[in-house]
Amino acid sequence: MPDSAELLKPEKNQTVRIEQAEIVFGVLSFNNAGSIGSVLAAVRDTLNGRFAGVPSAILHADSGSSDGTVEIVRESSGDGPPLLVVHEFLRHADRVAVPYHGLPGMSSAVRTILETARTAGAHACAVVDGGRTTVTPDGIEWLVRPVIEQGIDFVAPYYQRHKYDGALTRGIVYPLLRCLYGRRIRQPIGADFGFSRTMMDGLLAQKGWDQDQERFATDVWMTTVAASGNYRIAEAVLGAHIRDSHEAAPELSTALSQITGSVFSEMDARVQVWQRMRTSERVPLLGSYKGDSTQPVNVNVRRMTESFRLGYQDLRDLWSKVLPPASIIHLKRMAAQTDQTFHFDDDLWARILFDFAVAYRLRVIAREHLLGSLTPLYLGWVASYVRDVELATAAEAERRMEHLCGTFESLKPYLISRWRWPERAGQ
Amino acid sequence: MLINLSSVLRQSADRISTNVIVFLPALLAVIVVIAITILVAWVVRAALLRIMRGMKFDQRSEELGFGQYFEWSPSRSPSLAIARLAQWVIILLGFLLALTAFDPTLTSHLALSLFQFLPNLLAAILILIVGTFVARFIGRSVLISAVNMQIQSARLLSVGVKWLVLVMAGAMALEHVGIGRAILELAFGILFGGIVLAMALAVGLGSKEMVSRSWERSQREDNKEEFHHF
Repeated sequence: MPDSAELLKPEKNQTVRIEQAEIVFGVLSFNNAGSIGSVLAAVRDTLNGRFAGVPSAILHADSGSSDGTVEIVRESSGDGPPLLVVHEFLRHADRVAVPYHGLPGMSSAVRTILETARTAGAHACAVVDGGRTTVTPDGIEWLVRPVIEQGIDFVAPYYQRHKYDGALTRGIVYPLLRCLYGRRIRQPIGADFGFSRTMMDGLLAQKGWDQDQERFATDVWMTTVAASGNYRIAEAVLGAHIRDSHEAAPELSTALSQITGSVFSEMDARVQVWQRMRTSERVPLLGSYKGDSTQPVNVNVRRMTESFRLGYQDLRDLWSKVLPPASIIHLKRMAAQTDQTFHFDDDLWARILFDFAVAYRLRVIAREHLLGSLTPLYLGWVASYVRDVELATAAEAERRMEHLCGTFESLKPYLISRWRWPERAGQ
Repeated sequence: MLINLSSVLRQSADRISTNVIVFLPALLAVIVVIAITILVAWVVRAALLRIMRGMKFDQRSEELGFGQYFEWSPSRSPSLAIARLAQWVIILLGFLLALTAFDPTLTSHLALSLFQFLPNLLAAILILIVGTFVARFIGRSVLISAVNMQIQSARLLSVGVKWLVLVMAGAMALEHVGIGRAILELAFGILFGGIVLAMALAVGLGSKEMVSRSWERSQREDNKEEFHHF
């Protein structure tokens, strides 16, 4: 390991190269001038203090910041491993189509980091979100330590969040991935992950890097690859999930389409894997878990139920092409409920997602229309979930989630049957 | 005088009877040809339907995403639509063939005129089909986006956009076949301009307060909202 920090800037199209490193940390950023300094400091502290003597390197992959993020990184100094700044990894497709969820160009950035780490002969690699203001050495240590000491291949993030937060993960991504691939990875959406050499090889061998659905939801896709393969997986407690507040919140409908589209697209590609999986198993949770956030969160449930009712009123005909008549009758009853009595059955929600997955595969209607029409249904489910856990403790909210996931798993035969014999819908 | 008149009448009667004698077999031939054509068309339609149903053509079309192209047909069945098309093409050809019984040159004249007109007609049909498809797609996109933006009159907006595209496609198709060009241009200008002006007025003036109230409410609610979906 060099005695002082090096700052390198590769020219356009030049291959990024680090001579040799056991651990490579990649820091992702896009307009994160407010947080990038503290993230880099945390990474340096981790490598200097907890992995001292181990050859390592830090790679900063920026997706074209215009707020001085790169300048802050250039001017940053500190003892420790070499720091390499990469700007030119973005492919043309990344510049044209910006994802509504996550970092722009995240797919290319992660790919560059993994390729660099593999070339350097690294045994462990981690990517860290440069926009998270709560990155600590305690947290990110757990992204690589399990890889080095316990032979874990893939470390997923576990953020301590309020029971309402991450509803898309709670309501769609986690239950679906758990029931499909049999691994209980609680938070597949994020930008902090750890990889072993085997996982790096496995991911880099995938064809998904250049495909739209995978590029737009790289986090979900990488988790799917890990969960559906024969890899050892763990979750690392990373503290609270608070991001740079300058960033605008992503547009819900488009982000929802990109994320669910990625899950559905992978279902089609990995049908042999998920149709054989019958149960799910826990993955170890590493790090110090101090309980979820209990700060009060303002939620406008009325707006969500209104969105659901408007969706039922105007998109019913479209949903009828995708959902069996029994589900439509159920939705009709729900649309007539008051805000106080509004309730979305877990059973109905699971069936709806399964029917949407089948319709996505069969292209019953244009895929962008199909995924776009899911938003009011999702908001209906969120409204019901928020009402259910409004007065619940963290443990009760956890039991609520277990019930939802249990419903998804118990209805898996319905999904398999619909997938294999779609013409039998409604029978 | 009377002799002359009688001779003229006899000649006319002879001509009529000769024409009738010539016309009747031709009429009979036309009826026979049309009857055979209808029979052949019906057999072809039934055979095509049977083959395509045996191949599960409808299901395969749905799976490949072609089902939506046949939603305009009453039965929404791709195999039935194709079988019907084949049936009517055979009937049309049979009808043209039958006309040769009266005048062998008539069909060739008709065919010549038809072939001169055919490119424009085909282009117009293509414009209509593409226009209908695009109108449906855009209309549905607008409906979904408007619902997701919680616009109460989402359906109205979607229908308006869909008809705008349909009117434009219809006008382009009629322009291609050369029907009422001047009137069409004028009517289209008035109609299209009218729709755009009406929409602009509705949003700009009529719903100014409503839009501003709704926007303010949405902003207020957005500011209060601390919910993170991701």
